Amino acid sequence: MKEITLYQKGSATILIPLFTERIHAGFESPAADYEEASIDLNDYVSKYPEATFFARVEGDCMIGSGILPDDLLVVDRSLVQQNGDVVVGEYNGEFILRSYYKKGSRVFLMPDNKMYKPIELTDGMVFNIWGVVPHTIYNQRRRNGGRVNRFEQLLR
Amino acid sequence: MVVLIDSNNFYVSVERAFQPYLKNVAGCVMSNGDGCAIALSNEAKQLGIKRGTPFFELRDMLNQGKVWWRSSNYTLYQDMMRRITKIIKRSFPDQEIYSIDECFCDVSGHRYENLEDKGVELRARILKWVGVPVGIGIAPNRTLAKIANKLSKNTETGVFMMDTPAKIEEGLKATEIDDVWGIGPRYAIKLIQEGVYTAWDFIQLPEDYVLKLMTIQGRRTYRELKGEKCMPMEYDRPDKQAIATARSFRGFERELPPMEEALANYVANAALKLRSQRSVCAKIFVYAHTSRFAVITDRYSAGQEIKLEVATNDTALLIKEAVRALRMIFVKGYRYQKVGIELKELKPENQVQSSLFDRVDAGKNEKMQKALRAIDGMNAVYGKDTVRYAVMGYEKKWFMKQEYLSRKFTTRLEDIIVVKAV
Repeated sequence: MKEITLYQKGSATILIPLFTERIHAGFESPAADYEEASIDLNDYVSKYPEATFFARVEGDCMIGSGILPDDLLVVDRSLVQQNGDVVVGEYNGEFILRSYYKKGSRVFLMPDNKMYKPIELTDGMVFNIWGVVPHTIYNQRRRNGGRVNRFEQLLR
Repeated sequence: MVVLIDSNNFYVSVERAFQPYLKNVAGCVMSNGDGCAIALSNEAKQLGIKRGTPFFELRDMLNQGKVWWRSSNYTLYQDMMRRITKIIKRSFPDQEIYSIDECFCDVSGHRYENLEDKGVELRARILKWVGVPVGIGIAPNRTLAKIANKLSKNTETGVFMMDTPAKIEEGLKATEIDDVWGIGPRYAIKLIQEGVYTAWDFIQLPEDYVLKLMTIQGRRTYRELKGEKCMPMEYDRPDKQAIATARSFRGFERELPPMEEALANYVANAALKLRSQRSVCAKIFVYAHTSRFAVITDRYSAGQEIKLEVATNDTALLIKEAVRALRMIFVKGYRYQKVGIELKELKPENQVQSSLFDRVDAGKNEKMQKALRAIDGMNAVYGKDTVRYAVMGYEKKWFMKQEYLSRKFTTRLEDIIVVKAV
């Protein structure tokens, strides 16, 4: 029996690099054979794009994990939560951001900020894990102001 | 074997996936233009609300907060359908997307250890990955898969496999004749008069008799119910034969200019659809009418068909012709409720026959096509109607309110869900 290999048709998001160098007639660019597809950030942040959603953070209870208000969350619903994962949960009809922490048979939704209380999941509570947050996106340029202030003080 | 995956109350499920507070509360999604309910949650069905119930009949329940409602958010539903289709493809690659919430998969070319388990696994994955519950029916052909799918809603796993004669018999006996796919209400009435109440009764009839009573299509359904595979999968569904857009005004319109403006917008929309399937149309039909609830002397309804000299998909030409048609039927003094357009006699773009008196020369036409592609491209990137024809206007006074439209949670960064870290 002959073995055949099946390839999946590439997704439309793959970026093909554009040649910027001039190509002389008659001479093919020596780099042509080395061409590769550009880096696609989508591949890095999620394995299954169909299960990946984005969300915006409101509040600072996860500041210890480096998640600030207005940050962008990548939420992968295909992942199964592991101990310590940052998760988006459905709680009292709202989406909440916490860390999943299981200790023995007890499950806690932990904030990463001392100003907030942990939530322990008990029977009769309506809570669902909506998705796991494998990556967050922090907009550095939006925080230039705060940095400038700190530098000012440092150099004073 | 054929697998049919069908989402339960799809639009309602999608709304709930991004707005958890809508769960466990009766709710419905309204038709385009918010005219009537088109999707209902189970709780809403229990309240006696039916598909097609007009908005004004629901108003009391909505105002009392007993039922939530949303305008239909097709951008969101389409994106979720695309995601579900992709998940299905990972399990069953030969798929035919039958409608926005139904997908047939032919698995005859593959061998599975246990197809039912595979279905259960797929159902769980769709629920976890996108939050939409589905029912899965597995049977030897499409007609039987439809029946198995319906029965899957009563199983614990959400999956029903009809693979043995005994299970098929059970399934057919549980299916009323008017619920059989392919048997319309007209034939169902005829069959019930003959004493045929269930799908099982139907296949007890002799085949000649079925052919005499119904048509060749009826016989096909009969054979499929008996387990034969008569309907092939349609992987490439044919393009639409006509494109229609019509919407009700928020109130009423008495004057021609706002009606022209509304019509121009519908034409632009329809022309875009036409271009996206690379077709042109040879005929347009424009119509307008007053409310059918108006007193008889205030009622008016008229339509005008225009045959185009050359089949086209050029928005400007279509608007011009549509407006001309509207002016032919418009009578002053009535309170119009609706205006609409239908693009007819569609054919592929590359089969256009130019008229002998074609004043549009080929070069100019090519330029026009380029311009249209550029416009479609810009509107796709910068938002609908960024580039528009002047007659389309800016205010959209005529536009029905879509106040209860949920955000485009999956396709626009400014619309994504907000997660509380408080």
